[in-house]
Amino acid sequence: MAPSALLSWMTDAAGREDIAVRETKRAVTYGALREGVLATAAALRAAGVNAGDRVAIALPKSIAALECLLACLVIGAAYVPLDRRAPAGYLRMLLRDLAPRLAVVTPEIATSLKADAANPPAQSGLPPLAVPTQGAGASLLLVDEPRNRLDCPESPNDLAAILYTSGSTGVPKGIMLSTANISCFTEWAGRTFAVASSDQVSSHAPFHFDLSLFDIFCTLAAHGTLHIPDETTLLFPGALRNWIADAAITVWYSVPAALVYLSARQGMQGLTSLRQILFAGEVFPVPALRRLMTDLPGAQYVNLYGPTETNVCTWHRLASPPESDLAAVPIGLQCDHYEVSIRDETGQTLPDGETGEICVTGPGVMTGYWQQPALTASSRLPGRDASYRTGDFGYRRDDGQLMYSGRRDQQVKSRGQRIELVTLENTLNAHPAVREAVVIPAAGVGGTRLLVFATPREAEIDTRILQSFVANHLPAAYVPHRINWLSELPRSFNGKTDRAALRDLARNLPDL
Amino acid sequence: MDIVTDRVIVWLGGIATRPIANVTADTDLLDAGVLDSIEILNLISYIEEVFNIAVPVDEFVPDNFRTPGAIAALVGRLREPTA
Repeated sequence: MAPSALLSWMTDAAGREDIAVRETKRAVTYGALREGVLATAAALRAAGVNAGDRVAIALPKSIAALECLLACLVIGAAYVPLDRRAPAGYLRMLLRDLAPRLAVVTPEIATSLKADAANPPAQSGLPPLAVPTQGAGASLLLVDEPRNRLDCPESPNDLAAILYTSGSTGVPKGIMLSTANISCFTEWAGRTFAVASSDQVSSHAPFHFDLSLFDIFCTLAAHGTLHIPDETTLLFPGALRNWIADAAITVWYSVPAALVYLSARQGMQGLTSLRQILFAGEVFPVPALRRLMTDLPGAQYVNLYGPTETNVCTWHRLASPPESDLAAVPIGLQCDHYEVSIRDETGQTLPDGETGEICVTGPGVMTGYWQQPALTASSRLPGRDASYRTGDFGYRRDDGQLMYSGRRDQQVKSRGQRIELVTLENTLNAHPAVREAVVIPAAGVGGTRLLVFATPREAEIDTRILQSFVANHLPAAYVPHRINWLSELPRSFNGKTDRAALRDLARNLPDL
Repeated sequence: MDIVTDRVIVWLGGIATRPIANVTADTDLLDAGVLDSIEILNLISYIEEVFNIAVPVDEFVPDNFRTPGAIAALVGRLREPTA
């Protein structure tokens, strides 16, 4: 079998002494990583894993977890990282959906998955479980006998990973990514951001989040060093700042929230080792971006756009900080391996300047949703396999730059007019008293109400001040009905704003 | 027990979704499963607000927030210059 394009680093890794991955208490050389991956692959094979299988992995982010997912690729199996903090019931649902050959989990998760002994149906969907043994040279300790194995259908040829995202209806979708899907992105990103063997790359995103594909595969392909912070470090700006400084991180990729959180405490000042700061996943509040770029002027700042189904499909390097807090940051130009078009509901391409759905065609588009062919078909442009209708809206500016206008479900009618929530959020974020604002539309007595959840920069300000600020910049339909101040916005596992939690909060507000 | 430790313990017992009881000045709040990330951020915001302090980035490290006692020591240190 030809070695996976994602494992090119292994071909000359034997005996290499340069550091491949560093975590808090341990580092491995390229030579040692290769040996660890091969040992883990042997252990997975012994547990019955073959090419075409899937392996679920619910472990803390670590060298051991990385070796496990790379070992799957060595075998030709797909790795499926799961959030180890998710409740047991949710993990069980994902495992039932996935039908993996094996699930590699922590001892705690193994216990909680099996805890429902009084509930046989809950047990029946469980795959065989394995837990990694402690210490160097990751081999696996089997918990279950492989004969417990379920009926597991074979994955499509070349499948490298399945990343689960929570669907808007609450039913998780398994996004299938082939080796070709991932490698066309990592080749583009490695070339565009000139990732090199001297680079110290942060691994900020969890492995079940698509940003990790850049961290892992671009770094290893370039023979750079990947740095895995411990989970406590991520929570404390002072610790994170020290970690960036000590590791002399050169390339950083995260959701905007992590950078906003750091820069709000002046935590980015003086971190001059950083040369590339990449962000994706949601809109970066412009005032925070301006502050960040002013605090740390030497780095290059790049706005990346793309859902997990396509990974990054457009990019925009900011030559200088946005000129005003009300400036909109483009999502930019299409990546080399993609064709990005703006289309109407019938699939017709729209002229520049008109707002429509952002549609993507090219070799990076997912092979489909795991075992959901109808959903997969409905996400495609008619008659085009490697295509994806993002459900995001945008338009192409005169200068060719693509602009993001929000999700399909973020366009609402307020006071009889169609408004885009992202436009209102950008304007609210531009007010000096606001650190971050999110707009949640809610059904009220007199029609849709625009509820704002915001965190203050320092002190909360009166609702009327913010309302008149909006009225001075946007049509009257955009004026929010109510401002709710919070000390922090709720975040989902991947650091994005948890809009579902805010909708719950909105439902419990009196007097809509 | 000093006032800061006391307020932290009362706050932990008052988390609406999941009150945390049996906390002492030495309970490790960062141990897996005690506080989740949002709760830690909320606790820090609460402390900054009620004790009228701003935790500078260099002090914003796990060891200063590991236990109610450590938080009390931090608050004491940050309030000292103006006391």
